[in-house]
Amino acid sequence: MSVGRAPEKSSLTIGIVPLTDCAPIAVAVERGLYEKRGLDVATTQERSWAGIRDKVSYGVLDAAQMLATMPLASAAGVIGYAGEFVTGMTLDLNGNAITLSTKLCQEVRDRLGDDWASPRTADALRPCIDARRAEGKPKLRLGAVFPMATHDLELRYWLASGGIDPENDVELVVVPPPSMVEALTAGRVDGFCVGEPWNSVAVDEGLGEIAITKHALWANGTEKVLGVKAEWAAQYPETHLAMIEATLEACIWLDDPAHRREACAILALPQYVNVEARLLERSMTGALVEAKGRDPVAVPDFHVFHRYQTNLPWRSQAMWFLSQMVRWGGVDPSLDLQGIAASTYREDIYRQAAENLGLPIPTQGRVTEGTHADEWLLPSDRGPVTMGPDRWVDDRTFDPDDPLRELGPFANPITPMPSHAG
Amino acid sequence: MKSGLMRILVVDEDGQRGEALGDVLRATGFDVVIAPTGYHHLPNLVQDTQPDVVLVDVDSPGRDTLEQLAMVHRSSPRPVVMFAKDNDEQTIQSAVKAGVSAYRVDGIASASVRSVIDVAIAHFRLYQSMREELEKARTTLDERKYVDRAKAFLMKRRGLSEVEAYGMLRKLAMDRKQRIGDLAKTLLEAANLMEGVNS
Repeated sequence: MSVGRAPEKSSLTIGIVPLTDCAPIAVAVERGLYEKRGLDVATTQERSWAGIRDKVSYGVLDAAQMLATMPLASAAGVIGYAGEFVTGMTLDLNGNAITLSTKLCQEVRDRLGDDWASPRTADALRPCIDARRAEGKPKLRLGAVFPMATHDLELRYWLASGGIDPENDVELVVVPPPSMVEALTAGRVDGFCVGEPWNSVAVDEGLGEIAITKHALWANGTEKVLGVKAEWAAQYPETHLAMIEATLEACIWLDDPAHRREACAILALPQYVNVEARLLERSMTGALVEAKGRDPVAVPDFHVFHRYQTNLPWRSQAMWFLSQMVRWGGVDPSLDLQGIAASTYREDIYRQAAENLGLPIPTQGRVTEGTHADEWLLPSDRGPVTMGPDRWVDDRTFDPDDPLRELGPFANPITPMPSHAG
Repeated sequence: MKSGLMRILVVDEDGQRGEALGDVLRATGFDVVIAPTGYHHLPNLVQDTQPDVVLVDVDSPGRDTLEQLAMVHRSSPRPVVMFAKDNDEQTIQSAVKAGVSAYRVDGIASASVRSVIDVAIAHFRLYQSMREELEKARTTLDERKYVDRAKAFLMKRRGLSEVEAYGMLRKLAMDRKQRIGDLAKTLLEAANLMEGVNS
């Protein structure tokens, strides 16, 4: 480990949201990894993504567990997003699931006449949607946590891949993560896409069934990043590096299966997720209970914190998020999308931190996504590194150099698509 | 037809603070609607009451549902936008630091919105300092309670006079560089643990 220069700022406040993937930050605090690097870190539990955005933007927070889409949407000027954020490190992959109410799942099974085996595709919802339309009943309402968030894009992707138009066949609503279960209880939503533990909590209360995990929908997709304001990153480069290095060490620790239960004991604390460890353990140890009373199924990659080169802010994944935001009318396709990805997903900062820790650094930060059903090898400066599967549920592929070529069904961009090569 | 007054929707988890802010804004000449607590009414409430400005507690979990209104600009006749454009940067920074965020309907002049936000900032700051005062007063009260109980405990168990018991507590606190209230609390907890003493 190289000894960096002293951090310019030693007292930091990092915002977290009560979700299992605040783990890298929680673990770095509890295991003294920030302290070891001369950082005195306090965490605050934030209650909304808008709060995270505003507080990082206006200096109330130094850094935060941020939706992977947030720096991109901000730079692209998505309405409602303020501030210019950058990330030098991804915190985790996967981590989410789509849960549907027990009642809706029963209705699907009744109409299909079978048990709707997993991975469940959204086409099974078609008869329920058509029946509601024919009877003049309200549409199915599905919740995601924030407009143009990873969850919103994933829910839309799942629906559209099953021939369901997310804008017209169902009603999409925003519900804050910790309120999801309550919204399901009160019948205000028929399902949602949210991070753990809120899917497992809904299952445990018998309110819902996990229809599909993010991993089954899109294997090893980026989920949260460690976000800071661009200005902050420029002002405190050593502090930024020290914070990333400590958080990276926490990610390495977290990916040892032997540490997952201990991590759950940390996450169960009131200042982090504040949910019983036994529920956190389901997704954290990869023994997921999809419906109450059913045997757990093995999803070892439900939470990935370090392996598969998780922590590099992958340019190709940034481009996929941007292309999906274009697809649903959140981002103007005529913008310099490559420039936005390059300026917010700061591969250079990650490379510096990885070098300081002696970690292998892949020779490229972008790949054609969606072409690997199994683990594969990518060259790095220290020999080949293992990458995870990266396939989508509908077997599409994504070329980051031609991100708008094929947006997928029901695409509804805000302005005409620019002409492009190919 | 709406009256000429600018309409403000106030969303605050701290109901008392929200009501009081509403009173101040009404007195200043605005039409005010106070949102009931609970996040899920918000999008409907905004559609029904058609506010020009929404002031929202920065920690309200309902905030994200307002962002949805900002996004559905294509279908919404009155898009709500985050109040944060170039020359408003300073105002919005002070607001977020004071704990309040604002959304305005697109097209409302930012100067008139700024005056609303200034009132909100002042109000939130005042509330914060009142809360801190209250907290301080409560801590002092708690300390006195613990000290009294610890004194009684020492008088009973060690046969000390009140003055002696207090002197002992004070000396222990000074030796350990602790506040006397904290020391008294620790002592009582330890006593409870060891002997199941209930004071």
